[in-house]
This record gives sequence, C-alpha cells and structure tokens, in this order.
Amino acid sequence: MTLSTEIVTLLAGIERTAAPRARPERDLPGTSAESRLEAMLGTVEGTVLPRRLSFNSEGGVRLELTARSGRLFAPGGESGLAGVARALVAHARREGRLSVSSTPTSDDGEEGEVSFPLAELRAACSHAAAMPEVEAEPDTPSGDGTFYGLIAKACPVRAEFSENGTRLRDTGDASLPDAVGATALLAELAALETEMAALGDAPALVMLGDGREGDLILCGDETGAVLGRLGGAGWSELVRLWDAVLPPEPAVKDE
Amino acid sequence: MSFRAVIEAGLDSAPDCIALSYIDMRARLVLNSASRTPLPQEMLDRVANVAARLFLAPAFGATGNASEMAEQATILGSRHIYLFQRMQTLPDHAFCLLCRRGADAVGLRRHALSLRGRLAHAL
Repeated sequence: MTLSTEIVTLLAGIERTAAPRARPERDLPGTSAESRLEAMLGTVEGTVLPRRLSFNSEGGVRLELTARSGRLFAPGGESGLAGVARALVAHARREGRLSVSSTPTSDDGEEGEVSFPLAELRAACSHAAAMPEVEAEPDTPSGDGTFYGLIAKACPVRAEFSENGTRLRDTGDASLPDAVGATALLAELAALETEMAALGDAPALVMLGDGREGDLILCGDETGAVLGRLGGAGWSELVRLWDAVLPPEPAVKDE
Repeated sequence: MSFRAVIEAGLDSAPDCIALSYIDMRARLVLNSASRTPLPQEMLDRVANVAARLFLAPAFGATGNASEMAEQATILGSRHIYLFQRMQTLPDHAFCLLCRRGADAVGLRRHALSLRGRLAHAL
C-alpha cells in the first residue's frame, strides 16, 4: 500500500467513525412521572448535534421531537412550547416502560419551529404538570364528537400534526409514514384542501383505497391534521362518524 | 353502447349522484361528463385536479404501503361525497362520481367498480 493510499484509507475510516449514527433504543430511568419527565429533559439537554428524538411508550405511543445543543425545537410562540410541554408531561405519565431512540437530522426542526432553551422547556413542563387536564392518555386531543375524536374512533393507527406540520404524537405503528413521507402527504392534503374549499366542500376527509382496514386516511382543519389507517370498522363506520361530526347540509336548489 | 351513453347511464343509475366526470389526469382535463344540472367549467377543472393529485402525486406512492397506489379514493366533503375510480386499462384516466352527502357509500363503491368495466368496454 502506498503512503497516499494509506492516508486515504485512514481518512475514510475517520469519516466513518465521525459520521453521526442512529442510537439504539434505550430505556429511560425512573418509575414516577416526575423522574421520567426529568429523564426526557435530560435527554434533550444531552443532545448536542441535531437529532430527532423518539420517546416510545410501552403501549406503542411515540412522541417525536427535534433537539440540538441542549435546546428543543417547537412551534414558535408560547402556545407552541406549551403544546410540546403538555405532550412531554402526558408521555411521562403513561403506564409501563418508556424508552428513547434518536436519529441524526440535518435540519433545525420543522418549518416554523424555533428552539427553546431547557430552562424554558422545564418551566413549561412544570406549568403543564400542574394543569388538571393533562392526563395519561392524551394520544388524541379529544375522544368526543369532534374531528379528532372521529379519527380516534375510526383509525386506531394515526399520527397527529400541528397546523405547521409538527408531529405532535402518534400511535407508533410501522405503517405510519416517516417524517419525509408525512411531510409530502401533508403538502398534498393542503393542496387537496385548497381545491375542496374552492369547490365549497371544506372541510374534507380523504381516503385512499376502497374502504378496507389499513387504507390511508388524511384530514385536517385549522388546528392541524391527522394521517391514519382505517380500522376494522371500515368505511361505513367512517362515513357514519363523519355524518355525526359534520351533519349533511340540506340539499341546495341547483342539485 | 357508446361511451357517451355509458356515462349518461352511469349517472342515471346512481340516484344520489349529481354528476359523473371522466378525466384524463395527465392533462388534468374532464373529457366527458354528465350532470343533473349544468356544472361550471371551473368546477370540472378542479375535480380533474383533485383526481390527478389523488392518483398521480408521488406522495401517495411513497409511504411504503400498496394501498397508497390506490385504484379508488373517496373524499367526504361538507356538502358532497366524491368517489374517484381509476381505470384499470388506462391508469392515467379516472372518473369521479359526485354525490350528495348521505348517499350509500358502500353502494357507490360497488357502482363505481361496475361502471369502470362498462366504460372500459365502451372505449
């Protein structure tokens, strides 16, 4: 081996070693909600290079966040940070084992996100923890007769996004799109919503497929969007729920 | 039966439907349509756009599930149900059944599958 070849080989080895790699999933310490929240905050604090952190509950609920330099990325403004803090507190309160894995990311959070120092995040979490409505199972914003309640009933597998596309929470199923896929789907959903609004038919719910279990469901409103997989109840149940949430308007004259 | 006659019969045999449009998705054009009352061209253009997005957008083929390469798609709107059915032999073509809310959704899907066969035969 010539000297130059050896140098090139050594450099390639160094590059491989230095390249950011995905970290395997590890359990978070702590059994109380407080200690597990502290462990999650500690994970954020210990993240130097930009990484996508995935906090996974034993029940299969996943919370994904982006962190860098000990700061957390969240939608701008107090409400954005408060939303992430609520999600963290709720996640810490879940039953069973809680784990974390991380993957390198080149971006600084999603579009519209800003970074918050740990102190601000900690304060927001303290505030969220004191709020009585943060319960252990907020994997859907509501189980009532609203848009999201509908999806929760019809789609046992789903991911929920804020209005700026931040993944707030999901049910942790491999059939859900990854970050890149979700971004593309949300862009398509936004374009479809524009068309449907122009047709006088917003809001709208989109289903790809012929109404079988596992078909892709997309819908959104001004507060965010959901990507889900149709559950076993199928298409008829989805239509029934849609009618309950958004009763059909009386037929107009020109029809 | 001519293609035009199949379109008209397809609408007539679905009482809850108010329009049936046959679409070239690549061109984003409605090639043929029938409706209970005349529809504005802008509306037909938008329906063609929606069909193209549902069946040709790469996003729907990139999530690793075969169902995203769907042959059928439905949009539940605030006033209507839009059922889009892709043609088997001409994958760039599809048709849209525009129906009133409250229409029998399962029956519509069956109707669309049957109509696809008749349209393909008439082409």
